[in-house]
Amino acid sequence: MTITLLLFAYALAVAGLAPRLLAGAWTRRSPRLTLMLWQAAGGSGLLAVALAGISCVAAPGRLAACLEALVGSDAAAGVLTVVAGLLLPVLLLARLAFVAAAMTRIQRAERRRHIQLLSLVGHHDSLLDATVVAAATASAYCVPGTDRVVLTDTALRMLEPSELRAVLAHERAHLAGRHHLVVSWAAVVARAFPGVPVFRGLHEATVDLVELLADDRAVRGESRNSLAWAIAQLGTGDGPAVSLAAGGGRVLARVERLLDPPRRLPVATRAGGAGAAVAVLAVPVLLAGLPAVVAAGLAACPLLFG
Amino acid sequence: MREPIERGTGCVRGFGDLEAAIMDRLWSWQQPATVRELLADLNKDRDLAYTTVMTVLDNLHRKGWLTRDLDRRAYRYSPVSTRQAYSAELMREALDSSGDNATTLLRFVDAMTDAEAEAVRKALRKHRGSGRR
Repeated sequence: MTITLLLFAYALAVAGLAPRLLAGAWTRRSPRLTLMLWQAAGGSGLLAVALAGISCVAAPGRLAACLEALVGSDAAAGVLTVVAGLLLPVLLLARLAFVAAAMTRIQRAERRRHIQLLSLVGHHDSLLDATVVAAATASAYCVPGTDRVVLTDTALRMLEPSELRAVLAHERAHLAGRHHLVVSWAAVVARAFPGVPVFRGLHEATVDLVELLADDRAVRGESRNSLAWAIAQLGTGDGPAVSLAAGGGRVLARVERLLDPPRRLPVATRAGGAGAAVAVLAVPVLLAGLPAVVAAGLAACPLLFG
Repeated sequence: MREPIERGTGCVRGFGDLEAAIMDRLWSWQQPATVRELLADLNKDRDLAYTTVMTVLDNLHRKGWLTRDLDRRAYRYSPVSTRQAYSAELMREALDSSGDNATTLLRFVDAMTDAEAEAVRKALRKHRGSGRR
């Protein structure tokens, strides 16, 4: 029972603290570490809640006593505890699986249709190794799960050669890094449990951070200036007003980061951060396993644990 | 006896290129065409079998890109929609960063608000040595 409460408290603490701790300028200095910490926070929250259910089955304790008093029968209370405890992780997983399946289905259908449309109205430019589409809007994107980078002819006209190379390098970094997988996972969690701030934060941060990862990768071979200019060119292309202000200053932050690159976090800090990510995930497992460990220890070595 | 799918070279990449070539012709002709008419035009610069073109047209019809009407004893194929309509659909998907398909594609940059775009231009101007090259 105590363990169950501890696990719930831990989930609440992680949910409350993560968005506050994983903010600020340092998060943009090492996007990979920040991404790792966000994933650990989201994952450990889910894990703690699931394990809380299991732990209340494993050690009913006071909860069973409460239920017994309510129901008036020992056996019925026991059954209720087990059902309630198991229902929690099962529902959690079922909800995630359901949303993931639905999203995967939609994505697959949309990508298939998109690729068909591309093959009919676009043409493959073998020099760029990209698909070019005639459109009034300047735009560039990639189709995850394929090796396809798409540019509109308007974007081609607007970009200087070095900017074009930077755009292509950025998109290829998305594809090579399989960034869509981590973005999709974050989207699934956010959609499965809407209104939970830590999951919304996880999703928004992931979308933002993979752009920084792709930028960092692109500027290994291309100039920072060119990439910054390309962002300005393609972000302000006067297409249909699709914006709905989703960026919220993120594009500006991206450009500023390219023009004035912050120093990477020191190796020791990054190593410590990675350790923290592992620890955040390990804590709920250890909490849930504690009674078993103690019990096993008592049985095996009464002197030490006694 | 089975007919060879495609004589000559260039069969490995599947029918994608051929589908595009056929749609191209139907859009520019602006009138329904038979397999034989398309074959004659396509074979000006390649060497396709009748059955290949027939198969691809049948595929395009099945996928919903073409409609067909029986004219005497041959089907006449015509595009369901214009090239412009498909381009518009393509770009709608490419630019829509909200809703269900937000994760379907990864965009280089989302459209900015006017205020943010102005701030970005200011940052670029302000930064020393960041002239556009």
